[in-house]
Amino acid sequence: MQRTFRWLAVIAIVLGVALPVIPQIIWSLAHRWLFPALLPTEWSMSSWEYVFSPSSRVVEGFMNSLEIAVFVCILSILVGLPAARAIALNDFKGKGIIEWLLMVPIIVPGIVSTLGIHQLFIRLHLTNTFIGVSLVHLIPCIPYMVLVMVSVFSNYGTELEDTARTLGAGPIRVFLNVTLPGILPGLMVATMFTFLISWGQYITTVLIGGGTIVTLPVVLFPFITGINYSNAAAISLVFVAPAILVLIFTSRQLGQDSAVMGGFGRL
Amino acid sequence: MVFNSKRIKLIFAITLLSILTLVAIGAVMAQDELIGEVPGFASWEEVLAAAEGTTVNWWMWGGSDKINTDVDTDIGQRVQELYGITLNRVPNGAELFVDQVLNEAAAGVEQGAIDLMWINGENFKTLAEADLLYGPWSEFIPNAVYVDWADPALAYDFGYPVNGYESPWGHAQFVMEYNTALVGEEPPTTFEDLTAWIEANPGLFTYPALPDFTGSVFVRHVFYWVAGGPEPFLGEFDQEVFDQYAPAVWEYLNSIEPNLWRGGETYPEATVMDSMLANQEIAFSMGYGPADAANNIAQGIYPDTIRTFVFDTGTISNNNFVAIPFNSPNPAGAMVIANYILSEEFQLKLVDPAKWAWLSPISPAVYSEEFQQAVAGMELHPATLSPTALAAAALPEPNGDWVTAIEAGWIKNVLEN
Repeated sequence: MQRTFRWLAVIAIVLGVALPVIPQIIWSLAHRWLFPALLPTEWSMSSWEYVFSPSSRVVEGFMNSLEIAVFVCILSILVGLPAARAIALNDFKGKGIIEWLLMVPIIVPGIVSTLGIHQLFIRLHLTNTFIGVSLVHLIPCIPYMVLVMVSVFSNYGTELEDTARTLGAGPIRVFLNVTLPGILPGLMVATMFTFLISWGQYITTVLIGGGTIVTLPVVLFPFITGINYSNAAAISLVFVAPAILVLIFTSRQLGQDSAVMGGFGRL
Repeated sequence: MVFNSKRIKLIFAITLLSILTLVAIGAVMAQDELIGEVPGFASWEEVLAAAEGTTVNWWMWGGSDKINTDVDTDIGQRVQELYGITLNRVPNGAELFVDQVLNEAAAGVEQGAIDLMWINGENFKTLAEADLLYGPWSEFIPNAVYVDWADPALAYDFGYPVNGYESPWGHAQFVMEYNTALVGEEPPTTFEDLTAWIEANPGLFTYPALPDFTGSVFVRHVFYWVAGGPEPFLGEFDQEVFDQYAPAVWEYLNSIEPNLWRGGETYPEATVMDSMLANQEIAFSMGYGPADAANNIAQGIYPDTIRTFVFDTGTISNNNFVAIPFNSPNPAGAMVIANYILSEEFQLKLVDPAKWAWLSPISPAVYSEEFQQAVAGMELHPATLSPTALAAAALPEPNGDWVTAIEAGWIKNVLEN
């Protein structure tokens, strides 16, 4: 019974991911695809040639997005991991307020906070810089990192760490040999979420990056509003490729009976 | 002294000829000199020297692969070769430039992100009124000799005086696009014929919802038609004049509404309309690019059966301008590029139907004999009207305040009615 359910879930996920992508693939190769033709009447590689030409700036945008997303993941872990552990394992005064503050970026639209931050960043000379864009991406990313890691830590006892410590292990050793293996599946899922949220940022990048930090969404957006669907489809495929890889990877993690799924409903 | 009329005619002719010769010589000779003073630079050599080896951040709308590639090859590569300037084309949505400059100004940034921007009339007015543009410069760069600043379409951008703060580089004119498979070879070129066609063919006509700029210019044409010409709307906004014509416009637009696409319950976006035309969901589209239809056919977006026309009473035209923000780190490089795109070399590529396929803001007569011969030899795509036919039908834009009033009025009286 459970097996059938699992298979149904897998099929649903695969269809959900694959179905929207199939027309995109066809569009990216279509030179002429007009109603009522079921398939393109003329095919061409010109959109893909454009994607890989320097004028499209797709490759440049891809690399910028990748660098920023990886950097944001590292920052998110540095900030989110200690915060999540403290919230999950300790009770302290003002905990409710801190939990709430950490979730605020999910509730408040990014554009609102970014418009305010823009002025501050200009004064700090952070606009139009890699660091500035990464920092502004951090805002919507941290809640997801914390949300996932709090659920991981609340399912995680400190008994093993205590045992290790009584056996003489120092804090670094305890973290590397005991804590990290215990939370690793959950940490990976949280990092993937963080990566994807940074990967998809448009308006925050444009405002803080001032157009000089050209990420993939910045390249893609004008095409979505244009009428050349072939180019838009080709760039979209480049854009969703990492997301699909990440989804496949995380769904494996989620499918296992790991700590990740455990206390997901806690917060 | 007795002057008979013959002698007066002769003197007049000689004077005229010498003026023309002087103008012609001036145009050829002044090409490497500043014509007036620009802020911060004493001579064109100084500008060129300051520009060499620098990067120019040119902000522009980035949604056309053709324009992106053309700018990189025909401008970027050439200014690199000629002046050692690296052109960094910053692709963007068109509405973000103003916010960027306003925010930088509010925070007191002296070295901004933008050097040059391809800007629309509305944004130009906003920035000019806030005193956030570098200048005046555009009348003083060497190739400004080619620009006919006496032409109101170049001296004013949507009724707002350019005054040396914007330099033209392309010309745009409204055309109607239609599918001959649905409309036939003889399109309705008057509003009377168009109205009759819409009534006979319900569901096949629509226009973009205002304040979309394509929808907005279509409704401006209705205003011109109702008023019998553009004249009442060229000066400052006048509420009485507006109230005199507006009710008839709203009444007309409401009268065709039941026969529009989806019974006029909703109006599409301009780009969606192009795609609906391509897929025969509607029979007409419209826009500011006379060669857009030809480009779209070449790219496979449109079927071969799309053609364009202008109304017998004319269509609205305007110019594409570039401007430099007050805090551009590199105004010298920006001016060199603005100057290059007015050159004969570049304008020849601009008007070539096989290359850019734009219209030029410059009269071909100011360029060389070779230029005019090359232009005469260019073959137009069958979906593109000839520059002469377009020029003959060109109408001016109204003052920008009229546009705002028309857009607000349409939403209140047509959309919400």
